[in-house]
Amino acid sequence: MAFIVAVAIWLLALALLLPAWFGPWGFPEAITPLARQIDSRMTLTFVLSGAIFLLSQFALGYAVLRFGRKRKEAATYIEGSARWEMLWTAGGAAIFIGLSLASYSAWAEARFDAERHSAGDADRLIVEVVGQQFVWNIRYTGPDGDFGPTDPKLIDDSMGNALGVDRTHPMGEDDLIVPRLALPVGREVEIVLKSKDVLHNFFVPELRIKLDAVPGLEGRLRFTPDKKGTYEIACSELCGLGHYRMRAFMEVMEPAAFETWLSEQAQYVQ
Amino acid sequence: MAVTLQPPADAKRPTRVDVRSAGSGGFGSPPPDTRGWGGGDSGGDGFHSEQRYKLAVWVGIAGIVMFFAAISSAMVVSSVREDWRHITLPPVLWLSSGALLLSSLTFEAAKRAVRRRGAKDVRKWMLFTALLGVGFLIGQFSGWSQMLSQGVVLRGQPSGAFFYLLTAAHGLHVLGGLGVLGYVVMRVSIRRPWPRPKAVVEAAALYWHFIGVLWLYIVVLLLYLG
Amino acid sequence: MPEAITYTEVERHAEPKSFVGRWIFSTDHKVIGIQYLLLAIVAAFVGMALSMLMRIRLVWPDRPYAFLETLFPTGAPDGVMTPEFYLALLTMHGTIMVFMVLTTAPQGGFGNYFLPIQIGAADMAFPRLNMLAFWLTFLSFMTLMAAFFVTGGAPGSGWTAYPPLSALREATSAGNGQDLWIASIAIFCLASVLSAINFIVTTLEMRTQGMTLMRMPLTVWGWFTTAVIGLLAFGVLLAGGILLLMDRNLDTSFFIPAGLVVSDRLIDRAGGSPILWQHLFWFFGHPEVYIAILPGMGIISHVLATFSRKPVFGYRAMIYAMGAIAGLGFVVWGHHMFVSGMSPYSAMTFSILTMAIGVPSAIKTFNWIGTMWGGRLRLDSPMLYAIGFVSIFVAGGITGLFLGQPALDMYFHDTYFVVAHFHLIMGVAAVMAMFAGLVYWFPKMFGRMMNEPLNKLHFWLTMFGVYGVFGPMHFLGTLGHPRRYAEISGVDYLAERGSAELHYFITIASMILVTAQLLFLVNFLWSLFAGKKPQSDNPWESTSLEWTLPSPPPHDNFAGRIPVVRRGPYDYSVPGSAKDFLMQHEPDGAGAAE
Repeated sequence: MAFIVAVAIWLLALALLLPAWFGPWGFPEAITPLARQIDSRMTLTFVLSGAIFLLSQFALGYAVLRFGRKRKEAATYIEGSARWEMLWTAGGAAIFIGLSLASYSAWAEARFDAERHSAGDADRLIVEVVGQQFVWNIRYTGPDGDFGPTDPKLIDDSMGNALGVDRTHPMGEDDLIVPRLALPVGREVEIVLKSKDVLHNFFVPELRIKLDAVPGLEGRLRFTPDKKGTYEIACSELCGLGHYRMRAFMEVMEPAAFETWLSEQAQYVQ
Repeated sequence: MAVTLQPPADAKRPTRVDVRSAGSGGFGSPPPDTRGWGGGDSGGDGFHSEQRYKLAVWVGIAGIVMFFAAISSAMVVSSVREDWRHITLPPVLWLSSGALLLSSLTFEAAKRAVRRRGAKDVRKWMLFTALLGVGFLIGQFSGWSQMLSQGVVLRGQPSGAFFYLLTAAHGLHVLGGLGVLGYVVMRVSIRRPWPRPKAVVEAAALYWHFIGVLWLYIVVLLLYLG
Repeated sequence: MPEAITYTEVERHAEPKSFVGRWIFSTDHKVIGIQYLLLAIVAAFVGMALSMLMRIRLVWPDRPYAFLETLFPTGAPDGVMTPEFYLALLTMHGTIMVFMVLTTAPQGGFGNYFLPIQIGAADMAFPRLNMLAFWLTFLSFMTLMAAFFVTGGAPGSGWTAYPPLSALREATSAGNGQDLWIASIAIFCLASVLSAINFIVTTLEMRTQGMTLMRMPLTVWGWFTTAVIGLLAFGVLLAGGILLLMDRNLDTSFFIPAGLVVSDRLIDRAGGSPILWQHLFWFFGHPEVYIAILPGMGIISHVLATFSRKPVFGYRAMIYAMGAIAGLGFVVWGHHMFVSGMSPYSAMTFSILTMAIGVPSAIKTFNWIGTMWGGRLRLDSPMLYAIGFVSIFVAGGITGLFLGQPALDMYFHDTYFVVAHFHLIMGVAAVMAMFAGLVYWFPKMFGRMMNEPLNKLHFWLTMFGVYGVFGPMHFLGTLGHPRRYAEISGVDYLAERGSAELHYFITIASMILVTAQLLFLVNFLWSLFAGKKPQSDNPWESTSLEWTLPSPPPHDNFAGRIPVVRRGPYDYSVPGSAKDFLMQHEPDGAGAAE
């Protein structure tokens, strides 16, 4: 029995760990420098936690194997050992808190910069992503580089104004609302995340970042995609019955193609 | 009128068995002490431990404090809202506050009477306390109607919503206290012996003082933020 | 000459005569404990049935089932489950499992039954309060179940009930399911606080002579610590629930911001913050995790020592670790909110505290292995469950290292990775501890043994079933599969990378797992009436006070003679002793070699 238990524990541990590393279910391709930085922290955490996991499971199985068989000696009367307690307290604290500190820079890169107000950086593309049950609306500023004011009373889906942009305002007349997030490759993007109704969540697996779209608040995410391709935005906060099908596409394209696309969309809207 | 406030004579106190030496085995076990934390004080049957009533109230206070702390912190973070408007507390609240504070004093008098074992006095002071408590609740109700006549409603007035919520939640706690008072008055009025009047009355007094203090806290919170 | 065992003589309690007084509105903590356990078992099977429906809908979304149409005419018209119904299933599954199973069984069930006995008391400090707490819990359960049958059906906003989805009738169904849900939770909070007061006072005031705090079994420490957490946490949830109920019914807007447009209609509310609910909810919600697992930790320590024939390794360290978990548990709630839009600066503080709470968990894990080390293991089924607990606890805990780092949590948040993590560590681990406790105490509670071969079969099926269900969910998570999706075909990238196959595998594994639980139920019921009688009142040769009593114990436990405690709870294999265990009331020399 002891042998079976030990082997079962080891096999289950390996069955959980090995496919995580070798299986076909790894992360999708990373398409920003930030995503690759996060991936490296993932690897670090995986190696350290995998080692702790294997060590614990191996020790557990070994204890069963060695002390679970019929033996002549009585059990040893040990009440504990301050030295071992110190060891795993200090070791655990060092590894766990060390990991937290190690990924601090990636978090700061993803969120701290985006929190600061971002006016004045002309090269950055600012796009508004607004969730509603159960679609994503994407708003570009148009040629003037400014979003127009919005008012919920002006919302009119039949006129293509799902966000209630004030079309009479000079900053609002050229705003572009589309269902697709097109981005130029290699240029920094700032997503301004909003919601019209309930909580939603902007998640593109290839970006490795995620943020809730909170009604009444603005969330900001910054990244620089450097791989062309079409990716999916999957809503990742329960938003109602259509949550599972609330998605949009994010297309990263050549800057020239992006400009063409923008002007095509503008014509289409008019 | 003879009302027994002492433990009935036939109630057997637990016989304490003398414990001599401590077991030296085990986990560096200390000798079995017979007081407080040692667990010996309860003598093997905590039903005779009178501390448990007061302790239960203290523990319950911790739970109630967390409830009101949660509402308070929600109020603190909400007070930066754009639609937050100041409310003026209705003057009748000062009257009801006075009644509640006074009732703590009458409760203390009832406690003393229990110590003196004067059943009549106990009932008198308890009834005073209960009347003041009811008066407090009536005051709160008229406070509500004064607020309503000022036009403070739940919709669109977060400070008003917190006012109604805090006063209602506190009022329910007062109501619970009145229930305990009623129980005590009933117990001292019937002729059946009651083994633990002191412990129960002291625990009830502790709770009653607590809801008084809690009310002062709520008033300060409403004055400062509301 | 060895000293004699000494007793404290106390008054006996009269046993109630009527059937109602004995078995229904009983004030006997043992009866109330069994009532809690039965409630939890019923709830567990309801919750499991709901999860099976979820698994079935994910894999075969269009297949009709006639019985579903009969049960839920609106949720499953023509027998096909709607997406709304899927959300109702997951909300109710989560709520039932977290509140009615994981909170009631380990604490209300085992705690009620064994805490007074293990500290040498005739009952809880306040038996009538205890009864009230149980019946409030029962009322709460009934209220929750009623949500299925009102118009609009059960709520679909998840067990976390995030507003505005949960607060706006316009955003989900217009019915009262969500209101019943809130009412049920509010009643549950009240019951739990009352019960916690009782547990705390009982532990502090009712111990027998010689039962010092540092001689209490770790089970008692687990229940006591859990009670302290529950006392401080449930009031906060109650407050949040009241605010949400007001938002839904009294036109306030604590959680509803201005300018919401739902289905092209402007909502006439303003000023509230959805994130405020999340703070209130998780301030309760994170400690709730420890409410579920701490009693289990106590039971596992107790069982491991008993079946290793060794003292618990680092008894005091175990207690301090529980205290650290309870304390830190109140300051880590923000790790559920890394991507909520909360300040990214506070996220780092929450991250470090969260990683720090891994330390006491690691201490406990290594101490469990240390307890087995050098022992003479008896691999009876309680021990197997305990070993399985440690394995699953490690597997579930280790992924916390990913989720505790906000940079990595961004990817995993709200994916199946989280589902795998919390099911393993707070769900299955706690349930494994319940199995260990139930099999270990079954002879004491019912005077019969459970069938050992069936238990072992159940253990193996459960062990492999659990890894089979929750192991692949980690891989769904690494694929970036969001949770709470009613269908798996809504997003292309998942289908392309083999998520359907993983889902299929999980559904099959979950069917095996559920079958195993039915096996356990059969074994439980059969053993109640026809199980083997135990050879003695102490069949496992344990040391704690419940094993000094007849099985089942009489109404007032010790029949008026409460033993004086002479030693710590885990005196196994004491050198120089003839037998390999010394019970807590045995004086020195009682077992000495003659």
